[in-house]
Amino acid sequence: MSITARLSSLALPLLLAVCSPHLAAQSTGDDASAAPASESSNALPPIRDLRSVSAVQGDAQAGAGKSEVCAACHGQDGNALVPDFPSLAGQPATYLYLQLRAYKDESRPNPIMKPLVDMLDDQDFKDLAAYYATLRPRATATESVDTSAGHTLFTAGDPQRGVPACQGCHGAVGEGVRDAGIPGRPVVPWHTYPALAGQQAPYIVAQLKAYQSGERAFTTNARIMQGVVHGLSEQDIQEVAAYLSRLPVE
Amino acid sequence: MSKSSLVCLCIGSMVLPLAAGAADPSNSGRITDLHFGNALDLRGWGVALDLPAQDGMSLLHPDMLRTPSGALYPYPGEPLAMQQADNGWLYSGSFGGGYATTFGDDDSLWFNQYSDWGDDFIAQFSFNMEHPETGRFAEFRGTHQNEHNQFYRLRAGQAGRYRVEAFYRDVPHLISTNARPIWNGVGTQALTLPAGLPPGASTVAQVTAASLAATRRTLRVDRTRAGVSIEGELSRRFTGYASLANEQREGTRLWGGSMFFAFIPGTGGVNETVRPIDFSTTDTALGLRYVGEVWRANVSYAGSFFRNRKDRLDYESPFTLTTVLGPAVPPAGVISHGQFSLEPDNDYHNLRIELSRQLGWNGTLSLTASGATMRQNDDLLAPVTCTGIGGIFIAPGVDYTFNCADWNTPAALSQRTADARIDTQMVDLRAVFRPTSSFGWRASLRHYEEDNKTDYLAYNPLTGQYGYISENGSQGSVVPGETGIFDPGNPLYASYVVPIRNVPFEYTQTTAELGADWWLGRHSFGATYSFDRNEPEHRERTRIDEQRLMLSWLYRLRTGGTLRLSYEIADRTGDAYNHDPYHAFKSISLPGFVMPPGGLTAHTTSAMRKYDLSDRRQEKVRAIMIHPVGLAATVSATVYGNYNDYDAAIGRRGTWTTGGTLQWDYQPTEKTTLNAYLGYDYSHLRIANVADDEGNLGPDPSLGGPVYPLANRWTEDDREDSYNAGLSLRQVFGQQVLDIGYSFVYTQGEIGYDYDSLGAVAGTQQGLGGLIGNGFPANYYRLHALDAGLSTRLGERWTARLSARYELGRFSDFHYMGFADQLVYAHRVYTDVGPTRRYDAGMVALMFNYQL
Repeated sequence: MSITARLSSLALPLLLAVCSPHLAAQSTGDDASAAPASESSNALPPIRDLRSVSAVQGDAQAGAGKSEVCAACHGQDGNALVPDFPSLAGQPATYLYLQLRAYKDESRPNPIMKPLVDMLDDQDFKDLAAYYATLRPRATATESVDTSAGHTLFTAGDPQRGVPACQGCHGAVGEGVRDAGIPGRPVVPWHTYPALAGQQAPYIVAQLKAYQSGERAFTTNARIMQGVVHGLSEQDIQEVAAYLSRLPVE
Repeated sequence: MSKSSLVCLCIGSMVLPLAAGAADPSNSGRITDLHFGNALDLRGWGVALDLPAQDGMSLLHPDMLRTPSGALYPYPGEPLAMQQADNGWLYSGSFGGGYATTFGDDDSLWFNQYSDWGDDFIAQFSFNMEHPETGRFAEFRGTHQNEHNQFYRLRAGQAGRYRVEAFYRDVPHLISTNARPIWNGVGTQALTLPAGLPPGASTVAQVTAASLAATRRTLRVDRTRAGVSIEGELSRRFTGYASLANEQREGTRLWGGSMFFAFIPGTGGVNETVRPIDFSTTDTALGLRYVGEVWRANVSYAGSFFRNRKDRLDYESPFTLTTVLGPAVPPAGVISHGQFSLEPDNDYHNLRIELSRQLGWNGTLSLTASGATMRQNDDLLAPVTCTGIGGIFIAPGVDYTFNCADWNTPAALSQRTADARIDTQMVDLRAVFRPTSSFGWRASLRHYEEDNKTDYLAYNPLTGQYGYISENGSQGSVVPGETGIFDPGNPLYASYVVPIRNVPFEYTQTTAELGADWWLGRHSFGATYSFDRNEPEHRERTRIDEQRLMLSWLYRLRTGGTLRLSYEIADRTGDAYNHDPYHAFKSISLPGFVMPPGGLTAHTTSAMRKYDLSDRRQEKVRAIMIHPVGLAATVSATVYGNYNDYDAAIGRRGTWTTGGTLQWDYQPTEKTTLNAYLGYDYSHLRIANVADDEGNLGPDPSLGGPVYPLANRWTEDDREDSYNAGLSLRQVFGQQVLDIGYSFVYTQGEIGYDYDSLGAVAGTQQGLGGLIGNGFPANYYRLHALDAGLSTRLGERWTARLSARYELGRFSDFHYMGFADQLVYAHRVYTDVGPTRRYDAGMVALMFNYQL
């Protein structure tokens, strides 16, 4: 059975799984494994340490050939048509790869995505991730001057409530951070963080609530996000999500 | 830092798990106490098994973080797991107990000075609780090493609303572990001689025998401090705070007991006594703070009340006094009892107001004004405690005796209480602006005044005489006429120059400062100019001006390190120097004073310059480099030099201190920490002086004159070299933590001297001529210290820690030479044999901890 055939019957579950709030990231496979940062005595998944994960390398052309099923939900160009689904275009390859591996080893349990990714091997993950990273996110209509509360939270946060600015980790316009860092200084693995520009509001709302409820809590990155969303109200979440959906794509 | 305090630091830092959490800095000076901990638990952290935090320093990356200057932060420890109670409170805690024991020369002073190790049951606990919904919290922790070395602290409050704190702390300080006082009553206010040593009538042989038979004692001062404080938000803008703390110091320490000096064999008597310590100091503070958008203010009162419950020391002297005139003219009576007035009670009050206002140019203008008063009003003691007759009777008409009854009563004083008072006022105005991100400037003006209102006249209404019977009456019983009094009605005392009133030292100080800072990329520059005018009263100068220029440069390395250089130059001058400004406080100023036929003997040479008043040129330079090496290592180095050149032919002439450190810190993983350091310090002090020609005393104060001939000059060079090194390793093996530390200190001090002729030597010692040489034997202090500790988990909630310390020390101080054999030399009896010259000693402790 070709990979396309293997995946085609599971296209919808994949789409839903990407939206799933229960994340658990892993190592990139070709470097040191992402170690559990802590173990809990009650059956919760271990915290996966993503701080030392290096960037994955895949074959984007091969990935294109393996993406036919994915395109059914995530769009031919990697931009989801349905607002509840994430767009994959332009995301860092490592970030995408970590999500796929998480489904497979069930550190991000999801009954729909699990059978989909079980049919793929590690090289498939890398190739798919590399392919979607090359695609361009969909341009959105933007307001020339944005004075919304979402804009303020994204660019400046709210120090009074301990909410940091989103742009600190996701880029000035949500494009993701690509700073290589300074030799000899600590380097943040920005390639494990998603870009936000081009995502649609319902998806963002769902993810922020997942962090807030603790459903997404089992990676070091998720723990950062838990601290970020702790002080956000329902209104804040809606405002930020709406603002992000209006961000231009560069 | 003294050698002893350095040793104390080394002990503490090695006994503890090295990567315990950083010292808790959240306290402020206003909250009554800053330091908690002891040799068993230096940081007061109370963590038995300090494993590295699994979250590391950041969730963003796995690497170590550095301070703004580039040094590595210690890797954080894993906090104790919090348990949750039904009512929403979270809590954690641990409790431990164990035993410590010592071995080797464990009574050595250096080994015990600030730790007081012994065979003791030890305990440690820490308990924390917090209520996230309300922000309420409580924390209680402590360590018990023994009854003299322990601390406990309780903090509780509500975040952002209020905080209360209470603490209790015992700190030991051993003065001597080998003291052999000949007196009974050590620790009381009355030292009495044992049977067989008649006061004022014992022979040297008797005193020697008593000293050899004296029981070895430990002299120590134990400090107990306890306090409580509260700080709370009164409204959105106002915060109130109050604190009360009391420190009690009890024990004994070495003290004097002069019966006039005994350089002329068989004349006076020198006693090294033991005095009691029974002090309490109560500090209180009360304040109100306002924080507005534009204005900020703080109004505070601080009070400090010192009480001495043993404020006098009476002692008996064993030695028989003889006069300088020889056996043919003995003292008129027996002077054998001495008395010291010890520290008086003191009250201190300070009221302080601080105002600041935000201004344009990103500026702040602040004004601080304070007024304080210090007062002492204890009952004054009688000048002497002798009975009968003191002094010397030579012949009718040459009678230098005095009647003790005229002086051993408070009625012999011009006033019954001290009535001493010093008031101070201070105003400080300063402005700080940073109009751009790359430039800032600041200016300040400070004015301080001290008004000494104390006015005591040494006048005896019973005799009509001025002055004070010196040295308990002994001086006048050894040297005819040196009784210490002036009597305009008695030709024998009408020309004596004696102090007759206190000198109310006070000063006014005004300081202006102007500075600017520039931030240009990776470079920061600073320049500050200050002008200080000090106008003291009753000193050799009435005006001292000092100008100072300070320059600094900071360069930030791309790797996060820093290089800092600073240079400072100061020039101090003043008005004319009067070598003897004290006439108004001596009998010279009284009516009836009869000028001696040859004039007044010079007070000192006019070439003398006191070091705090003389012209001085000062330069200071310092370089500090902190250089990160990769992500896990840091090399840091410091070099400094301080130079002072005093314009003084006689007095302090110059000082030079220099030194440097080199340190390597390495944290390759959260499990391994390695530190190594080397240090060197050097100091040099130069002094010059001139001996007076005792056979040619007169009024000429000039250097090179008949009283102070150039041939009598002498100089002293005091040099000290200090080397220190250390190495420490901390390694985590699963659920075990091993820490090992080694430190080494070697200090050598040499006091050398030179002189032009034997005229520079005191007359009584000139006969020693060829033995004088050019210096004292070198002093040295050498210490090797090795610490090791192993902490391990025994079960889910049980941990254990085994720690040990071993010291190997060598010590030599010429001041103590010969004391190991005997403590009595002619009419001098000493008490302290001194620290052990060679010792090796150690401590082992085992503690078990239970975690909640």
